[in-house]
Amino acid sequence: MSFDPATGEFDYPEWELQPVLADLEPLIGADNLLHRPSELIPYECDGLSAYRKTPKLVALPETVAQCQALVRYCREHDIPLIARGAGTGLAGGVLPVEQAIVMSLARFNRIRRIDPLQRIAVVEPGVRNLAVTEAAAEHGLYYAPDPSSQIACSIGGNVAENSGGVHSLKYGLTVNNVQGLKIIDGDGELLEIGGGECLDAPGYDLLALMHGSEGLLGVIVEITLKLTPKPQAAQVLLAAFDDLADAGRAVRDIISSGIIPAGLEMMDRLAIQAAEDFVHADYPLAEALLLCELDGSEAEIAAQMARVREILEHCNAHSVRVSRDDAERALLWAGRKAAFPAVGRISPDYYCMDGTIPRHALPEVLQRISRFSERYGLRVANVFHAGDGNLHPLILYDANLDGDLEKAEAFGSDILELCVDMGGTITGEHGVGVEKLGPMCHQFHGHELAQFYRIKAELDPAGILNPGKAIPSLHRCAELGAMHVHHGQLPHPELERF
Amino acid sequence: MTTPTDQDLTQALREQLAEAVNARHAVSIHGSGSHGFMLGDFAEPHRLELAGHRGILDYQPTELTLKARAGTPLRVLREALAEGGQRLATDFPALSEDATLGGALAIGQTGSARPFHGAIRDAVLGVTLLGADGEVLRFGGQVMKNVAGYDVSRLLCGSRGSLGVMLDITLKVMPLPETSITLAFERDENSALRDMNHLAGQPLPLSAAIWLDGRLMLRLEGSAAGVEAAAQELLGERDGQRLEPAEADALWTGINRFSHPFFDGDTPLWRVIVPPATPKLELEAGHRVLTDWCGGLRWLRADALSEADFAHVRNAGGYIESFRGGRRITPAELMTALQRKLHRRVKKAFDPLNIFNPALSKFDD
Repeated sequence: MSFDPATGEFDYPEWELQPVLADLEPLIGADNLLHRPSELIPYECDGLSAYRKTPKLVALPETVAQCQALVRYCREHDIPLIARGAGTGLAGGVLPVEQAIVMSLARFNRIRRIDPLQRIAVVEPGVRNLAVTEAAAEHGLYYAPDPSSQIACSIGGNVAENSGGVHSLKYGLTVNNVQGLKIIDGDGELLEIGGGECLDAPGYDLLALMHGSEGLLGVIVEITLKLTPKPQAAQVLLAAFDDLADAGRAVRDIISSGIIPAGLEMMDRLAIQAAEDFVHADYPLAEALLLCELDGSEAEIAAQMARVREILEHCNAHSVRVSRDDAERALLWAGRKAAFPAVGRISPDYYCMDGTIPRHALPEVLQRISRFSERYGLRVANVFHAGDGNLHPLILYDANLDGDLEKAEAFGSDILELCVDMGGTITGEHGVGVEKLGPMCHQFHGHELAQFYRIKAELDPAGILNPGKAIPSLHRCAELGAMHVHHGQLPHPELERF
Repeated sequence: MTTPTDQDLTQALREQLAEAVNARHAVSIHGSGSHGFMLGDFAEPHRLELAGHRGILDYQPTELTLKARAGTPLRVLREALAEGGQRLATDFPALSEDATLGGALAIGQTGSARPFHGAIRDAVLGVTLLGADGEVLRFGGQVMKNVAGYDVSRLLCGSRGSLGVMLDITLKVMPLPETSITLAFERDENSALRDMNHLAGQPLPLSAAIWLDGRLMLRLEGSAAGVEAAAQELLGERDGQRLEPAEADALWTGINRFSHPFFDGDTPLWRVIVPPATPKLELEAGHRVLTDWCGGLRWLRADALSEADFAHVRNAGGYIESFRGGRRITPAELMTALQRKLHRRVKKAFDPLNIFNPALSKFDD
């Protein structure tokens, strides 16, 4: 068996390129199959470029029928298949595994239709996130989830990762903004799940199950998106703090005052400095910056902005600025939006983490991260989706220095375990991919992993869809020594532990 | 019967489940019993009683999350949240005063705020599940954003107790709105449907749009300034009136707790799901309709619907469920063969021995 549902292990036979090409050419078309080394390079990694592997073969199907044919072929021949969107993911979710064929959905880039009255868009998986918002603009509508990669990332990938964004506290994640999917299951069958134009569907919520399943349970070939009316206006406020704890208190007090900001972002000193040096947004240098965006009608924003200012003053904020127009709003956001590349300028490499914590734990978590930073001798810049508790520590390292990458990874792992211990999670929006398989062992115990394997085995009985991602095997967890022992019993006593 | 004190029945439930598994007999999972009519003849003789497994486990208003045991009455949650200046993130329907959180999630139906504030599954952040093998499994968590592992928590919503026993649930909660105003406009059904869908595409603080007895009714909720501005704009453009707060309260409570006179009597109640802008349903059967969800949900009172009526709704892209009385329609009947296959597999992945509510999770061809 290629995938063992008892342990989560997988293994696939080796195959020769020429006979497989000869089989696939009539199914997919010779022009749609890439196998020359130079053609394969773009497919060897995603946004997590520290992990690379060249696939043997890449398919670029043009029709759903071709996708189905490829899934069936791989199922019959025991070949792992990795569906890939724009490749902007940050967790190695589309990293080729041994013997895998990569199926790029880049050619599925059409917006099929927009229905302004029912506020939906039906799109193919390769459509870019921002393209939906652009196409809906003439109707006064937009697609709310806005991951930072929204210029480039594809909707199919957003569903597979359940992407978030800076506005997710108020407008939700991808799973809250999708009404229906067409998928190809592990048998190669095409079917619809969710309500599509309807707001409900009979039976289990398979729509939820597909979101964030990282391509392990099916291939997404069409998405019905919910569109949201564009707010009348939006305004952003920037405030500086000399003490991180004050900034944390301000976040807490804004939320408990009954205001749900459209965006609420925090940056620490190193992130502010890097951003300021890069985009000159005129950020004050401080221990922490808070950006608070409010949207709605003019009257509503005015009333809430006054309340937010009052709260901030109570929390010792200084240098408070409120955008007067959209140009100034864009400038205030510019520093935050450029934070990642800005950090990239002050360090040869950085490693971006993605934990979520209860908001009240922020001061303690930041203190502990700063202690880890001293211990590992690596600097860290923190940007934080403060509204929903999603923390992105950026660990600065130099891949050319011997052992630096390993140190950064160990540091990152410590941060993620800390997030779990504080009642949070190892990934808020980037997904597990190959990157966080280790920390998954800290978050889930063996019985939970076993439940995940059973879901995988039922929905993809041949075990060909994106193996080796998202869910660690029991062996891997046992080797890491991170296996949680529940009621004193290991789920698989037959396995060796070391 | 519910007991007034909080208690943790996990151990007792595990023992009862182990007994059922050993004896290979099926169980149904029972909350307050308010949806018992849905089971009808399908009720299993063996029940796991969850109503006593109750209590709020964690509620911190500044985190916007609440964790409670499945048997906790929704009423208790509403009261605790109101003290913190908050409420449930969307309308959770309740058929009785004792309706439980676990029951509401297992049924998985959402009230009038569905098109604007999301489904109840959208408010779920994490679930602790007692699985078929007697293990306690934790999925999701107590934070807003979490993509570790498959999204089992939301999958359990609407699964009618057929995948396992939800022991506790963490919900995202929201602030109480400063103001709620309900406006009413005289409209026939088709112009109401056009109006409500058109308005749902505008940046208005809408939280419900319904049509009943010749009136389009819109609920606006949010900041006092925003709601007042929107109400004035809507009344300036159209002839309409504000409902008195007491009347508005009675309306929305009546609809979301099924106590409105529309729901009275023994005439079968059908739940019709259609694309929201679908025009008035032209049915052969004599019926009354309450249009909710901005047109996406049509409650029907009708003695018997004809085959042509079912076909009419199917052709509109929707489907009809029996809610109370009338011919029983199982979810499996509304699916394609491939959808049934996927459902059988999901059921098997969680409950291979078919212990949990087997009658409600038959997906045979």
